[in-house]
Amino acid sequence: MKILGDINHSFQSTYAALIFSIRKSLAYRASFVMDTVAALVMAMVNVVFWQVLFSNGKGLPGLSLAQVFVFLMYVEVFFVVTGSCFAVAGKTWRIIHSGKLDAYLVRPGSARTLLLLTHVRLDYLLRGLPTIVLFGWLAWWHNAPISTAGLVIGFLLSIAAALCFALLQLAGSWLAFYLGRSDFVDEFTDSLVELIAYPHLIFPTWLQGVLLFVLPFGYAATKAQIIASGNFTTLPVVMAAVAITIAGWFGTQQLLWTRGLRRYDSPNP
Amino acid sequence: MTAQILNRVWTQQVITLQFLAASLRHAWREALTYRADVFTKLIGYPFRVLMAYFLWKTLFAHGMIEGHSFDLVLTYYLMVFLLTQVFPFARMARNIGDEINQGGINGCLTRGYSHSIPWLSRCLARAAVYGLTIGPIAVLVVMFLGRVGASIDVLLPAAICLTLGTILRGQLWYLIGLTAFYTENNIGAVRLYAIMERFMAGAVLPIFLFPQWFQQLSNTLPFVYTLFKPVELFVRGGDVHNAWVCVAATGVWCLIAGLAGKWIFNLGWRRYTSHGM
Repeated sequence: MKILGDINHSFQSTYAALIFSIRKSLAYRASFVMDTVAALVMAMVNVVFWQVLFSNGKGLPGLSLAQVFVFLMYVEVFFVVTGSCFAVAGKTWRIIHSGKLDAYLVRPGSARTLLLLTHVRLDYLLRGLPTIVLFGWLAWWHNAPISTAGLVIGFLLSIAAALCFALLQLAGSWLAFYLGRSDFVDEFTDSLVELIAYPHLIFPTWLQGVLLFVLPFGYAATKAQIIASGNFTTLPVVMAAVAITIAGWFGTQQLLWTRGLRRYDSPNP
Repeated sequence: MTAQILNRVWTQQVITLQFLAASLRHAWREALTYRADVFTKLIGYPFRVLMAYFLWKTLFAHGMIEGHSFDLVLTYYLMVFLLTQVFPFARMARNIGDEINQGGINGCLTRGYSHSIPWLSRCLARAAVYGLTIGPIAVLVVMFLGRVGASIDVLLPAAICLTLGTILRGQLWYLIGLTAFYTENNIGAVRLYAIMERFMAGAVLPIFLFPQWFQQLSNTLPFVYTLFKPVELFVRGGDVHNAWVCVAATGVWCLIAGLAGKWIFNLGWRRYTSHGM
């Protein structure tokens, strides 16, 4: 019964957060429209970037312009899921440092789940969707080789990578229990997303391995794009990487959270 | 009557200069006190350089870029990545938006100085601290990893162009901050401009890699003078006359952006209301 009550409470909190994000978008319409345009402009900048690089007719080995668009689509999926569902993951250290964690600890349900659910942002999802569609359309327009099953698995891999990255960011945030202000850790984990910007084919093999088995960026877009093209030979390795990274980062954040919570104290009366 | 007006204008200018000096002293102390905040953003620098290094190495290895050298492009990015971290201009624009939205701007408006002065001071102080601490390390990194093509006589105009370009960047971001007078929440404008600026200033791709028509179009806009032109002067050099023309053009854009800032501020100020402050 208690579990059902907790689930109900989490559902209500998520619903309130979603309604709030929609109302905010409607209240600041001009800003929301500009934000959406910004996402599209960013997509166009990416398109121009790769068009310029491919303009002399030569390409990267094993990667055509059409496949680059598939890659960019998965990059965007990763960012949209990260921004809409796990936006707060890297910033929770502020809640710990300011003592506002109390408000989550005394409410029914898991404090961490509540923290994530009450910060879900539908507006981020809405502004990111046109960009995903744009890249998908560009890939289709340039006749990218795509298999339906591969495309779906690719989406799931990008979502799994976003989840794993959120766990990594949470682990960084829980360091606030030990370090206090954690701007440096926050900035460090934020800057890791730079590693997703380009296909990992440009990296040496050892670095590709690190980005696949230690960080989730290997399968977020590069492997997702390869699998989407119908090449399933690497799928078992990728699935192993997904399991290892998610289990590893979940375990790390769990350890830091449970031990850190014992040290937690707040200035609130 | 004329004497009274002149006296009033003179007093106003003296107050402004005194305030600028005080703001600079304060901003300098602030930048020195919160050193971690100045350098925190540099954490992403190695990752960006790593990505650029491997990407461009691969592109050159497969003959995708012709007519330029890998050293030149790498040096370009080494400098651009450092310069984009000099001051958090996007955060400044957000803070200006909050000042307008939450009424914090009132405190400034009741006194006899321009709203932009504290921000200019913070930018100059932080750029100075950044230049003095990161500058020598940056020079070593660029000399070790990259290649500076500028001759001795181009270095002076390049340095002036870089300073003016940073001020111009700040002025343009200030204009974006002022959009909050019209939209209340300016995060959309900040994000949109951040992307446009990165692209048009050459932080995404060096402008010399674009087709000729795009380069000509860029030269007519202010963005190239904030990053691309100064860095190009350092990296590729060129003749001294061209370098000084760049300095002059950047100065003119600074003047235009300054006047535009004053004009937009006054227009926004007419729309502004505040209750209970």
